Amino acid sequence: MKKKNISLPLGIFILIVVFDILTYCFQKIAVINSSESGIAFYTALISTPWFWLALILGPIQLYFWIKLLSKSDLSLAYPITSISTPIIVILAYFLFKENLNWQVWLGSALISSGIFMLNYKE
Amino acid sequence: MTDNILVMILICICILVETGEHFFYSLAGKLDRKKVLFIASAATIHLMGLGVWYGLLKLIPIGVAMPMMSLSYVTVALLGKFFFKETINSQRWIAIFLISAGAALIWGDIR
Repeated sequence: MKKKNISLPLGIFILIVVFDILTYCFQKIAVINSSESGIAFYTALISTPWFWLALILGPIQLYFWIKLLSKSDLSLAYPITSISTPIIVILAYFLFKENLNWQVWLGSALISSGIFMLNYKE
Repeated sequence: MTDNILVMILICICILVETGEHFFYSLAGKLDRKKVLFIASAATIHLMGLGVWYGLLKLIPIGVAMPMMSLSYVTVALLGKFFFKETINSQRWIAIFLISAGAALIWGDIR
């Protein structure tokens, strides 16, 4: 029996994307707060709460991802959730004040359109 | 070892880890047996790769690391073609080219 769900449950989709973005933001904050080098970097990492927050979000996100896949085609869900990639790049620039030049922006635009095209079926 | 070479090696490792994860997820989806084993394998290498990923985040901005990781979409697609015998139509080849071109642009900047 083939599922033909065209409409994504919007709430679950938004939740997954938000969790994805939060995970990467927490990872970035954890790295910012761990300024040591070498092994000390990793011990500092696991002592920040941000590291654990990012880790916990993973299984939660997986749960909702499985829920989403039960209601929607993978060929639609997968490329749409990849929207988190360009959002992270934008957040990295505005929120974390990272230095991103035109190659990163153009490259990200190419990559994002490529990812969407990769799996999207009419 | 210069920083740039280390960054490139770390990126390759992270992409390989992510590809391996998707490989195990695919196996879990396609086969009717040992699903738990495959999902556990995916989770295991994910946790192992996490250390490398954080090391990478310390060296380069996440705005650069994230797009580079998108190369795993290409590797997974190629893995699907050569291992699972999935077909890649012209739309997908164009998409693979776009992702590769974007990654090459950023890659050339890291070097």
